[in-house]
Amino acid sequence: MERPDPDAVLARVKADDNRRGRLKIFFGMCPGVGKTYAMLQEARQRQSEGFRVWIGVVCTHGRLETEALLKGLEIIPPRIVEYRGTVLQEMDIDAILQIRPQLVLVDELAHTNAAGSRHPKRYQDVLELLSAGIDVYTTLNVQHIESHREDILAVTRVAVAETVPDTILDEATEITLVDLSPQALRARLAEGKVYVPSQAKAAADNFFKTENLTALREMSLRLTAAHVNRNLRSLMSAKGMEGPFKSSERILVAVGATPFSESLIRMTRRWAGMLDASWIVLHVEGSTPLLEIHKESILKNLALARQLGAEIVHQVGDDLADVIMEIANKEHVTQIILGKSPQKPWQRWLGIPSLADKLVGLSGQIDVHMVRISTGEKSFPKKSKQLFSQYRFRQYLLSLGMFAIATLISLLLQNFTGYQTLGVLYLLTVVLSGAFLGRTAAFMLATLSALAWDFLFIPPKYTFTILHSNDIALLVMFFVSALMMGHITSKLRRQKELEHKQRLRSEALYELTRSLAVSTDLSQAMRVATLQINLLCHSLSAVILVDEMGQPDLKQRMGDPIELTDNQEGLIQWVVNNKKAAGRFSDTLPQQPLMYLPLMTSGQVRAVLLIKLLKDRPLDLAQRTLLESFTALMTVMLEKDALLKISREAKMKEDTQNLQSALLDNLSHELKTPLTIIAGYLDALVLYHEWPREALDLLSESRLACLRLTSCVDAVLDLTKLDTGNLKANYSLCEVKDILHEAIKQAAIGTDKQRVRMDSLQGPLYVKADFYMLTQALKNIIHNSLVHGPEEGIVNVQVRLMDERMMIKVSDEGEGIPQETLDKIFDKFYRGAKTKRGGLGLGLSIAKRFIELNEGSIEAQNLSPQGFMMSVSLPITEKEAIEEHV
Amino acid sequence: MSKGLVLVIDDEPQIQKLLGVILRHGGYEVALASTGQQGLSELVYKKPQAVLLDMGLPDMEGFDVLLRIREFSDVAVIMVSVRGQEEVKVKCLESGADDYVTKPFSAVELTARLAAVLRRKTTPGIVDEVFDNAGLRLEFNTRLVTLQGQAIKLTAIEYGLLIALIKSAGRVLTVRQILRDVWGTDNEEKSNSVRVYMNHLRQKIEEDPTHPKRITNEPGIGYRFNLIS
Repeated sequence: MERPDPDAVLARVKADDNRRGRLKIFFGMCPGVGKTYAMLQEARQRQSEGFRVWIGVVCTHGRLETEALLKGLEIIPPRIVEYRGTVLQEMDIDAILQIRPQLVLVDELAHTNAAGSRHPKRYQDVLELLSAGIDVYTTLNVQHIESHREDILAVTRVAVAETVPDTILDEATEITLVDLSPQALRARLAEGKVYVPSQAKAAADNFFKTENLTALREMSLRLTAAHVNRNLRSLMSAKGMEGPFKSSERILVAVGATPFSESLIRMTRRWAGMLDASWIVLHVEGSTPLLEIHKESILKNLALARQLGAEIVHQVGDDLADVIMEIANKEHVTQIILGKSPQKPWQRWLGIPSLADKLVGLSGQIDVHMVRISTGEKSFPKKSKQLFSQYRFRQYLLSLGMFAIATLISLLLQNFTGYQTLGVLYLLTVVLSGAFLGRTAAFMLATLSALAWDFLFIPPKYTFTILHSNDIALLVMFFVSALMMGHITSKLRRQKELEHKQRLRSEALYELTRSLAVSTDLSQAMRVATLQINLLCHSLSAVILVDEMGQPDLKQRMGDPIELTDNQEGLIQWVVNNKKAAGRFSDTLPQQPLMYLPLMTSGQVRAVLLIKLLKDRPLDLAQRTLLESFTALMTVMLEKDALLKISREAKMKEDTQNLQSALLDNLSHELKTPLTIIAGYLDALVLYHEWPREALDLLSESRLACLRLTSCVDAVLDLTKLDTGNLKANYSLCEVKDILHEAIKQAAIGTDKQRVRMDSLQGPLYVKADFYMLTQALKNIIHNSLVHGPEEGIVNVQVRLMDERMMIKVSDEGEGIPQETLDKIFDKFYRGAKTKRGGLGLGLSIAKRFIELNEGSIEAQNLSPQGFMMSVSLPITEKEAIEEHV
Repeated sequence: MSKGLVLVIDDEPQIQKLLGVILRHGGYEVALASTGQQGLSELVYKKPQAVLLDMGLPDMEGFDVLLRIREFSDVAVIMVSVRGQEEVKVKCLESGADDYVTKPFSAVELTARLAAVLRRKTTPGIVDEVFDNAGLRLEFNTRLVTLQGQAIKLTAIEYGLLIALIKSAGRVLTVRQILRDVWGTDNEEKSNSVRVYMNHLRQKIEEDPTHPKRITNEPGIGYRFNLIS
């Protein structure tokens, strides 16, 4: 029997593996509309259709009708978690993965898991179930959707803590809206069908107000409609493979540390969703060092943006408008969104253009949208706090020191020089302070210097009064130029700092790129990369390669030796399976000390990067962006290595194939030449000489034996070529009787020809086949019947059409073969127990393989009372198809 | 009286000897060459009527020898090949080889091929106004075709096919040669038409179309029109 092709099986297994579960969301405007009820009803329906349905977690809130639906559905027991003295029940995701139901019910998608669970949020559990290929039904209220949080707050004045990212809606294959009119809901509430009665009154007064419900209902309806719309569009272009975004719109939003940025990000996400556009969140890092609290809020904002599906761009620069336009042009942005920030009055007074003015001037084809930002309850940390930050304090101290020294020198010099010269000395101090300590310090020093100069040196001394009008002019000019010099030098300094930062980043990247380029092999390249990562993050790091079957190769670790426990090894496998980062600073097991980052090429995890931070401090923005660039480079390296391996293997295979082919040709020549010579000489002897009858018989027999040997050599060669892939089918339109004549001619030697009877339909019959292969197959079958049938018995060859297929039946009048060995006769080297004459037992095996290469099939059966028949079935070429050719 | 000189180009001494025996018994004179180069110079000096050319020679491929021969001579060339080189055979036939035999060949087969090829070479074109073989009769002037005295109606393409076959009687024609002769095209996609029309023609001119004798198929190569004696 032919074994199944392992590659095909593997591909099938992989396809099954890759099947992502389908997510269905039962969506409602608020609790109590009957989502859980609807979900359970549908689940029972699925179960009655034969699906394996389990309940992962369902909260009935003690509602009787809902509880009644639970009967007959199997429940996966919850995990019991003790947290600060309270006992909590959480969904047991490992149990679900082990049971592997076809469909699992997970109520309340927005739930937050107890601390110490695998994922902080339940929706992350659901995503993992989906990637494991399990279908999930879940329930969700509109107020839990991340991007609607603010609107909900505005409408209901209730802040929602538990949210799910909007992307989960995109994940859903189906969203079913469970709708109920506000009046009906309030009626249900009054009947006590929603909450337990004691709570009902308070809840109704606060949340379930008719106007709230109407607003929530409208929101949920709109969201469902948008999802349906998007589904339709993606279905329509499913074959086009245009990438995830159908519209050519690309939106850029610039964000900073302000809390408004958060609303700006949510708003842009909604906008992008409506336009089906991709969107970029840009953060521009200026030269002024940021406060810790600002850094944190930027990181938070960017994390939110990433979670909502934005592309994050991080850029260094001082002129916001220029940087925004640079990125917008580079990324082919079509729309820019800006938060409307009030311009400072003095700027307006001086006619300094605002950011918006500048952008509008520069934007050209790009639309610029100004968005009003509601100044909510949150306030931006004031500058005043900044004045006393540690960093600033040191700077002020230093500039005070400089001021003191300058004053001291001035006091010493005042007897030798005029007081005017001392002004220049102060000016020099201001310039130095601007260059090294920043603008604020320089401004402070300028003011102090002006005052000191006036007080100590400008006559009359030790008063602020000035006698001469030109001294007044001198002081004013001093002050103005001190401010300007301070400003200009500090600006220069900032630019230098920015360049330095940028250079450090480019240098780090360049260093890695260069080292990677000269690394001769993958392990060296990975070692270089881990070294660079260690420098960047103050960490230990290692790379674990993943083989094609998705098995991490734990023994072969590149980089630092990091000890791994069994659980940690399990987490590496999890990263490979789920194609997501895990461990520290991620969504999965963030309490782990290690970071686990997947390195992916073309949708497959090729390696896992482990990073163990020596100081447990979150990475800052620059470190993160650089780390991302590093991993991108490492991925390129991995891909390069994989491609190299593939091409090397292909080359080797081709070389082997060529060698085999040449060898086979040679073998064929060497075997056949002597046979040709022997057969030829025997032929010549019989033809050109007179022989006694007995001798003539011997000669003819020898000649037949020689021909038999030739066909034997052919069979062995054919089989070798088949096995080594050196025989390629060459399909053409063949007439079946042509094939059969040729097959009979080759199979029946001498008088055997008279034993073959052909019975065929009138007129030509065509099949699309390789003439040679089919001829050999039928030759072997006919030969088999001639040999195994009775000595003088007839072999019938019958050609018929049956069910759109051509049937060629070859039957003899022999004893047939024992029923139990019927399926063995097509095995290589199989020979029947009663096989009379020689033969290698290859003929039928070759026949079967040739026929299967021509999309045919072959069967053997014993005939009653006597005889044996082999049936070959081939696809026929339709008359129409033939006439098309004519 | 010799039927002519045949040059055998083959590197196997035993094959040379075998071919020599068969050819001499068939009434031919024989010249021998072991390499392509030697064969070419023998051809120039001895001017044989036919060449038996092995496909694989120590110094060059049989196909290349054939191309060199065709640069200056239209001598009859029969390729000697082994099974499974159908593509090369077709290439040779289309580059001017007259026919081929496959090892192991029988003496009868070889001499018959040689005779057919030589007859065509010595009587180029159709001289006779009538073709008549074993009951199949064709009058070229009147385009009348009869089988055992019965008139047969042939379509234009079938008639064209029959003429092409008769002109090369005894010799193999590749599908592409037939396409070029009858359809006037080199378009390989039409090759199925050749197979279909050939079977139409068989239905009309074969006594027993299920056992065709006049038009036989050469697997992987083309068709041969046999003269029945």
